[in-house]
Amino acid sequence: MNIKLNSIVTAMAASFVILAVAADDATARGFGGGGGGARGGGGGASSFQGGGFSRGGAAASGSFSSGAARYGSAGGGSSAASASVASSRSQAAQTASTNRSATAQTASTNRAATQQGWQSTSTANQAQRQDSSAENQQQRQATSSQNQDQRQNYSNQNVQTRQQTAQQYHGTYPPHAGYYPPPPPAGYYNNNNNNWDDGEVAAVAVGSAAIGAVAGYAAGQSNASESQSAPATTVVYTAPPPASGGLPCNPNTSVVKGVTYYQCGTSWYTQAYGNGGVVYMPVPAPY
Amino acid sequence: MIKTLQKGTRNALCVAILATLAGCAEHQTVTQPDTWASPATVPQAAVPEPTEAEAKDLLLRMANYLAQAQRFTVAMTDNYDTLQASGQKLEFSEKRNLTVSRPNGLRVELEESHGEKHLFLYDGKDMTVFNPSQNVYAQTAKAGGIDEAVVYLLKDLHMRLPLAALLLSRFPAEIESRTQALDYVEKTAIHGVPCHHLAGRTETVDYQVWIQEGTQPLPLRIVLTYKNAEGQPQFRAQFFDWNLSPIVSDSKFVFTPPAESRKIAFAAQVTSIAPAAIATPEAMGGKQ
Repeated sequence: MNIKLNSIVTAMAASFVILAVAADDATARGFGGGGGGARGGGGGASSFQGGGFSRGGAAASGSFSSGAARYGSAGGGSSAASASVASSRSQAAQTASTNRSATAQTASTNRAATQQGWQSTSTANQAQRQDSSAENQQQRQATSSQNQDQRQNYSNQNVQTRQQTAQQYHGTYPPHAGYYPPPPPAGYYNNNNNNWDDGEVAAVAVGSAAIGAVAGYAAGQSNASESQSAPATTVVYTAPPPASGGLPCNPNTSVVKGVTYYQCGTSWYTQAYGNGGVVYMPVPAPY
Repeated sequence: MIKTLQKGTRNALCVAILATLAGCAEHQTVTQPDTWASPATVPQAAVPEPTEAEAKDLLLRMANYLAQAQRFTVAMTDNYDTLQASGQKLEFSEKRNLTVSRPNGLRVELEESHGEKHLFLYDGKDMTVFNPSQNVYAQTAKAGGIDEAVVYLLKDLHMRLPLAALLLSRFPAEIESRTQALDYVEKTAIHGVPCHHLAGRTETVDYQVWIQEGTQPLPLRIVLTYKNAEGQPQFRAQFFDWNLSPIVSDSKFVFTPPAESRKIAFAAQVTSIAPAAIATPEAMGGKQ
């Protein structure tokens, strides 16, 4: 009797452990742990199909400096997804932005000392970092609450300012046709400008221009088919392209001044090259 | 009876512990990165490791070596994390072939993990980005050489060119001015090639670089961590097939529009109505 009970308990425990390990492995395989990944490529979960996932973000820039999580969230990024996604990203970017300012302040105050340290000996650097670290920690703790209050105030102020600015822009829409970003002055960058590749500039600059809703687009003149360009006042309707391609409808296609426009209802789009590839951008009606 | 049960429980516990240990060992094997050298090829740390000053010297040697190279070709694969709106972190990958011919020639062939291809060309006068699958290209004039073209591409056209700083002739100054701290991590090997592992910190990015030992201090791997971004995503690049004396003709950098290709604008040059309304295949649930 004793021997029988002993065997039963042992067998049950062993079965339980084997089942648990097997279930663990199955879970890992099921979620892409076995190879192929979750993007539907080569054995991964095919339901994901790759579509609908953002390819953007701070790390997509591959830059040695960062505007945090705002890369590709606005102008020209193929990662610009639905409005709700954009909205949630915008909130994230705001939070990141405020955090970044605080971090940047601390880092800036310490950079001179740290870079000076680069010039001196290793031992001196280490001592300096330790001192600096302790001081910084105290400073951060002391100013943390103050910064938080400040950020909240700034945030409210910024929201008001943005709303006012947006209203002003909408009030003057469209300001003028044929707008083109002014060329940068020669030698506009130098070694002190460390942010030329941080991606954040892109989001802010394009976002600002977009709020302005400036009419006109003269950059995309067709080169290969220039001889086929229609006169300025002529609109050529061609057969609609295939239903795919990223537009929300089967669009009517017009070529005006060599630029191809796509019409979905009252909305007009044109193709452009952004940081995530070719995208359709909403534009004012070409005529 | 109690004694018997205790004995049974003891046996069961033994089985469970053994199975758990076996499971742990298995998981460790799975998570080990394949980039790293086998223990046999890792150099022995018999000599003292370099100091911070020596780490800086190694970094700047690498940067100067690249900056002074008049021509080079290299293949690069990279992976980067993206944080989805759901909070889920995904990794995407891509591969590039880069050709640099200073001062005016730059060619980047890119293939993304979903198969989309792009070609970037700069010939000293024009910079062009071409998408062969859609047969469209964007082009703009830019004189001044690779340095000015690359900065213009990123800063003004808001395009994407990972690790662009490595292409600049002023890369040493760029990396030096940005780096706030630098450490020598270890001497190691990647695919059997001995290298130095350095870790640096800039204001917004922590970086790691693995530099080949010897007379050709080339970067073999770079990892960037975006410490201020939500989820602290990483960008990881591996370099292969460095060639510092390729035979490159100027025509490799000149764009000739293929038949029936269409010229489109850079997105930064198109003024739109609403940034959130940019239509992409992803946003529309379609495919490119």
